[in-house]
Amino acid sequence: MRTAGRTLHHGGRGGQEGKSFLLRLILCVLCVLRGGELTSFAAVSDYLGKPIATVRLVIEGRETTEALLTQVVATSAGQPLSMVQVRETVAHLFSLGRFEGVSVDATLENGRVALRYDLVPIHAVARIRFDGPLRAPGIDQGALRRAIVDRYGVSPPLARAADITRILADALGARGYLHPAIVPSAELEHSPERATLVFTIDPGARTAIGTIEIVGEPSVTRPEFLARLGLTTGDPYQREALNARIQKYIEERRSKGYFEARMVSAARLSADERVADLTLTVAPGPRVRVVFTGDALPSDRRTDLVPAEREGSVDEDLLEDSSNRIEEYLRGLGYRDARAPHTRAETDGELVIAFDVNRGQQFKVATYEISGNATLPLTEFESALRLRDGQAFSDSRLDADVQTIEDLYRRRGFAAARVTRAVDIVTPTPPPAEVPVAVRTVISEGPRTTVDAVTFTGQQALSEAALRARAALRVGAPYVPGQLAVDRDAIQLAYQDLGYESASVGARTVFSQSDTHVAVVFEIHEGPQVFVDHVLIVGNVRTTTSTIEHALQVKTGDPFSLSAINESQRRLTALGLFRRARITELRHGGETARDLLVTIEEAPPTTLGYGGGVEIGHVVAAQDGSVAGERLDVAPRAFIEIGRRNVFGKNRSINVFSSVAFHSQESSANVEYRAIGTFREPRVFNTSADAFINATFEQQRRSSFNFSRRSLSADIARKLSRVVSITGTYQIQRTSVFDERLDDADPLKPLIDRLFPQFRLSSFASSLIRDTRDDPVDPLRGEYTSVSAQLAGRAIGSEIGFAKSFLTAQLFRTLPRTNRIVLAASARVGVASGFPREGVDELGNVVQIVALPQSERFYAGGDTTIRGFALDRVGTRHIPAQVNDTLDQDLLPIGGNGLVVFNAELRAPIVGGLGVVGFVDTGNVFSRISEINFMELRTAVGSGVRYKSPFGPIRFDLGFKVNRQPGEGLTAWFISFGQAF
Amino acid sequence: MGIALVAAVLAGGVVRAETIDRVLAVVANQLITQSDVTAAMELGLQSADAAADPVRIVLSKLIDRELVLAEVDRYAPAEPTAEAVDREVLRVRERFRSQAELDAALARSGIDEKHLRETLRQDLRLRAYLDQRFSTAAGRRASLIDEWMTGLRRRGGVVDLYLSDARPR
Repeated sequence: MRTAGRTLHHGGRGGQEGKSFLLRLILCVLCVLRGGELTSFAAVSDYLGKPIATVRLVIEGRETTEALLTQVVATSAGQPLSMVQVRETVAHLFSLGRFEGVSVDATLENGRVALRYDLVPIHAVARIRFDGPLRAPGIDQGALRRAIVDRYGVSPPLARAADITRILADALGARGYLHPAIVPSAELEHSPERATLVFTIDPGARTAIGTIEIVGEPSVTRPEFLARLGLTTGDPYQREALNARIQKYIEERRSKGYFEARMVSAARLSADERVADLTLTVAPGPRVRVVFTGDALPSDRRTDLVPAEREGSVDEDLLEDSSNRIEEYLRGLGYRDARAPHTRAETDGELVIAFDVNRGQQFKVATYEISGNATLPLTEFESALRLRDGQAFSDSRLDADVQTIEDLYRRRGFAAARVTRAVDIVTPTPPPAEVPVAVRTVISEGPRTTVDAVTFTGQQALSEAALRARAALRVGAPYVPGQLAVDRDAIQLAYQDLGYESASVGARTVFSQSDTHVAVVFEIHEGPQVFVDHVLIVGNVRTTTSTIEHALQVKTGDPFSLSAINESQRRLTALGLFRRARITELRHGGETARDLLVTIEEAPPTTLGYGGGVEIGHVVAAQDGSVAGERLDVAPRAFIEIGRRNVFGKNRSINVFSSVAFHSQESSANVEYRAIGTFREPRVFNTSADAFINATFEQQRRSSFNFSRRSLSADIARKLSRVVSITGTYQIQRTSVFDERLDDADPLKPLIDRLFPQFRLSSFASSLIRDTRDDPVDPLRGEYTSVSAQLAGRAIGSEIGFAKSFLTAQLFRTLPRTNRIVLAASARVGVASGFPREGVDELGNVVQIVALPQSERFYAGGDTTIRGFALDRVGTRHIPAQVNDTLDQDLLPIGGNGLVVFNAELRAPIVGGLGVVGFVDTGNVFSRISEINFMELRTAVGSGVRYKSPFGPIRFDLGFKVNRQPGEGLTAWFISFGQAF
Repeated sequence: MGIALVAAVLAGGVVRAETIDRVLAVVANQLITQSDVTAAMELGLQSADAAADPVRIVLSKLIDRELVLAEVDRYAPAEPTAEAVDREVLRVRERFRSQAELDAALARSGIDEKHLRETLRQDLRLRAYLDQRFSTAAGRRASLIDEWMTGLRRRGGVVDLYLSDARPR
């Protein structure tokens, strides 16, 4: 006997044709004389235990010392040869996913073993080519290629060549080439390793249609019938095309009422299979008409209730089901005695199926009485019941109620609880159309079973305490049969997380005689524990292996835990570095050890994003010497974002985002811009926090001033849980305010605005965020809460000191029993207080300044705060003016240290991506925290339209002021991106 | 040519390379190597009867075994008892005249007793699964299993590297 490899090798050479029998005989005799060396076992035995002289890795004849390959080789020079290590090495090398063949050759050299691992690299198929006489009629190379790509993709594995050959043969067979000769071959290229998969095709003779026999009577003449099927003697026999035309013919007939139309084709091939004689068996069936007599049925339900056309049948089973379906439907509407028998009658070649619908009287629930519930009050389950007083009576609803009550009792430990039901007609002489019924359900609670004991048997790897923690059934608690299965699964999962993948857990119960107590026994068969043998990471070019290992929750020697593998997969994906990251298990040899192969396909390192749009909204327009008006501002916008990820292979990233907007309003700052450069350092200082360094250059417009700013900030962000995160920031910035619309002579203009048109701000900030929204852009449910605080002080290099805090609380709920109508509510509260510092006023007096600079104050009004008001146009204003007003006499916003904004919005989808909203916004800006007065809130109501475009929600909002004040317009409208909040 | 071959065989000190292991098939991410086939034959886990190409026969059986085991893992049949596994181990041991012979056979295949035990345990799980799934009369059972196996082979994603005609030239 030879080794498998040798057997293949020799067999593949076809017995060495041409050798004489004598030569083979001599060779065999010599082999036997050499002590049976050609037996495989003897061959392996010759090498086992002998010291290894050399270990070579050879890829297609070229020796390699690539570290990734050498590090997985378990056999090393100097050690005695062990097949265990050989097997392990073969498995590891193959597991890398780079080789389609791995074989190990051994040679004896002076009593030592020279090992050679021959590696055949996978040659990815880069091209598929068809050779041969393919210009024959009916052969479409594109269709052949599609047949392959549809099944195996654009780069099919070479090992699938035989399967692909069969697919091609089928495709050619469908075109009438029933016996094509297809020979696959591969043209290999090296550096890079790739292949062209070549199929040399000789389609052979095409089978033609011979005689055509029609059995049965088609509805049209023979020539017309054959024309509709596209059949002519001598044409190529194309099986699938013929079947498609037959199907089309049948569907046409059914649409005309011939529900039972049938046709089958059979081909009889000649001896050389060049001619196919066809037999078409046609059963046209009668024309069928379905009619409904008696009580009316809604027309839109009839085809569902009697699906004769859809099923292509009017057999008795279907009709009986249809009668039952009609009766069930009517019983659901309260027609308890509904009947809908059917009859069939054939006249003049037409089959008439008649359903005689007799609804009978409608039963309505007059009273619904539930009794026997001594332990559980009615309020515990009443809301879950489906039957209600005054509703149409339905047996199925009553059955559902019975089930609901019994389930509830079982969940409370009443395993034997039963509910009996009775339905009585209230009046013996009911009116003909409507019958009131009294429904009674009587609950027999039975004994309440409590758990006396929970024990475990067969456990070794997990302690009893650990198992007990997994089980919800506890001593003294009510016994819930359903919980038993849940606990059993939880225990099994605990074992699987420890690598006991074949662990089985059984659950047994022993009830007391009165069924009031139960002992629960979990019987555990742990089975063998499976461990991770090796973790092999392949495909990473730019990303360091340590970055990937950090995301993995399993390492060599760990139990083979599916949960840990799934979490690893999630974390790898969350890195955002890879186009694809896949973890597959590889079994080899020892069935209690698995390799994990992490296959990485890196994403392009550079990302580029850009876009543009137009934002339209109402803004404040200052007018010399008179009250500021409002004007429509049309602002084309554009942005570009360039990112470089995985810098230095450590998942660091650099992003530059810049945006620009051009405003129609004339000012020296018609152009708004912002450029932000961000460097991200993940897991800074080896913690779970990410660090960011941001540099920002911007010029922005507000209603009563414009400003430019340069800032540098360092952030640390950390997720405390899946939904809670915290950030800390230090920021230093330089702000220049210009184009001030508030006159210096305005008595309401804060002194700080005159003294600090430019200032340096140095601040620390922190925020805590809890976000349970299902979608941050357009949530259907969830909450978002954030609290942030900022502290700027001269002690840390700021020219102005203040403390500022902002609270946001938002809630999103899909209203029950609606077509995904969402109620969205938001509350935003901002408070700030300046630290006093001395300044000199215009009269030369030294004064205390406590206000914040205008670019740091709060403002409200506009598309994201209070719609119905132009941007920043909300504030307090009194006549005569007061020092705490936040709008000046010309209605120009001054801003304030206190902000309150509340919003409520109903978001209703209509059709496609289109939806409408109705909203109420209220809030105001106050000069100081102590001035916040909820009686002075400004309110707007309105509605809007939303369109879910591929780029995100686009919205139009029209808001109306409530209690508008002199000088204010009634409305404001906005077109912008995203939701208002 | 013939003379050269004869000379090569006669030359005792000639350096000859023997393939001592190689990958023969991949089934559901599980490798089947030449040493697996050797182990199955030597330990009597699979029989090749008197086939002309015993490797082909045993390899096909190991491929089928892996396809079924992938199904078994999905449904987790009852765990075999330690005694049942012991009996199977004993049955294998009885094929050899001595423990040393068994150890030598294991060493040639590169598996240890733990591995052997685990293989036999999986075989028992496999049998239990088949008994549970195809608990019909003997004649019908065989045809049902054949039909089921055909489906598994079709869906199984088997890469059979032993079949030289399954690969392009």
